[in-house]
Amino acid sequence: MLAPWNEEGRLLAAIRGGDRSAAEELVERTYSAVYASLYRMCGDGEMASDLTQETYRKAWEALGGFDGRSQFSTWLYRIAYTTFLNAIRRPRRMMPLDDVAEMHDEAPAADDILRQREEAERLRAAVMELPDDLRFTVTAHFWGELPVGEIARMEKITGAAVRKRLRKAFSLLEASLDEEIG
Amino acid sequence: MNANRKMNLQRKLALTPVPAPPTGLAERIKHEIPEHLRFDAEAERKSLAQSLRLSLRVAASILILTIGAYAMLHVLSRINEQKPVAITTERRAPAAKESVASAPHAAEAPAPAPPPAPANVARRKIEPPTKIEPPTTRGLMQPAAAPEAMTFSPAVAAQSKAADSVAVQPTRLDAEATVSPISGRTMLRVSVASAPDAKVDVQGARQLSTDLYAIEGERATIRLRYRRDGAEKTIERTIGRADVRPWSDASQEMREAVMKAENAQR
Repeated sequence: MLAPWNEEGRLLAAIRGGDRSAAEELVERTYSAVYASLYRMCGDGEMASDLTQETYRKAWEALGGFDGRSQFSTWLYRIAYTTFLNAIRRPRRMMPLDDVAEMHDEAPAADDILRQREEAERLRAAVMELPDDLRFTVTAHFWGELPVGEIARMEKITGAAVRKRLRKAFSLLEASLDEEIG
Repeated sequence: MNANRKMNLQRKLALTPVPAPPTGLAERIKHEIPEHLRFDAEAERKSLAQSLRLSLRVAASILILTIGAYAMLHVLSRINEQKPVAITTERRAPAAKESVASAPHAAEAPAPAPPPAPANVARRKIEPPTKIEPPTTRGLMQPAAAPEAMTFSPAVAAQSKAADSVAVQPTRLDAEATVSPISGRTMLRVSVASAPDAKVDVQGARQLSTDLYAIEGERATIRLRYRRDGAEKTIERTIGRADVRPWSDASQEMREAVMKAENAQR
């Protein structure tokens, strides 16, 4: 999937000038990436949809405070991530991916599709078990599709530190997945 | 982790299947775009900076007030500490403050000279430490008829030392109390002048050296017994908390005695 995390500067300037159509265009460009990252984090289409809406609601409220030091996409991803964390801290049902498949996918499920979904769910669960900093780095990089440099800027650390976090996260994920299979 | 497994994990992470966003999501989000989208970032920044400045001012005011109050309290307590208590007994009459030491001796001892004045009361004076009063006002160097005096000021003690060289040799009990900066104990230094056969007994304090005691309770009682003109006489003095002076105001002799005793204890 192509990440529409770029070319937002012009639209932002127009939004700041009160151009509503620019805001709509910005939504059009970014919402699927926001939805995808949230879906990967929560594994529930309905919840991802709600959280995407909530993310934009918060973004409009906070847009005045966006100083442009990071990319808008990075800033929006941070809001999405925080929204997700707040949501999972609330007592709310999170539905595993395979249950979603059972409920919504009434087409005959091929074995490999099911297996892929199970793997994806295991991986998602393992990522969610990572420590905060590693989880954020992994989700931002792989699910939010943010470059290492942007994550480093957002986290106020070096790119090398981000890569170190990713390496550590891989080790933990591998151990966690092996343990689950074994 | 080997490279293959790492790549595999990366691939899995990157290619987690994601369904397309539900139809109508974009419309719902667009529908929630606020009516008034004009954001004045500069104004927002200014108002943020303003509120920050206000918070800083409040914090600085609180800090200044706290420091001011603390400094004031500190200065006040220092002023209070620097007011030493000087105790002087003037012309202490044998009948009032001196007593015949014990009952058997009392029977044998000749009658002491009558009191020169009806009011032989020990007087306490609060005076600054630097102030040196003339010996005559203290009555330290009185003739043998009423020779006993007790001082609580290093200055007075110094005076009396100088006065000792004069022909008249009054019996004198000097006592000084201060708090040791090392152990925090209240130390009492007792010295007796012009009473070669004097016997000093200090109650409520533990003797650390010849003339130094550590006060163990709230007060200590010093009893000086000596003989003069064939009669046994006693000077008694009680040292309480109010008589303890700060270390900075203690006499050199006192400080030396305390440090010597503390070193010996170590």
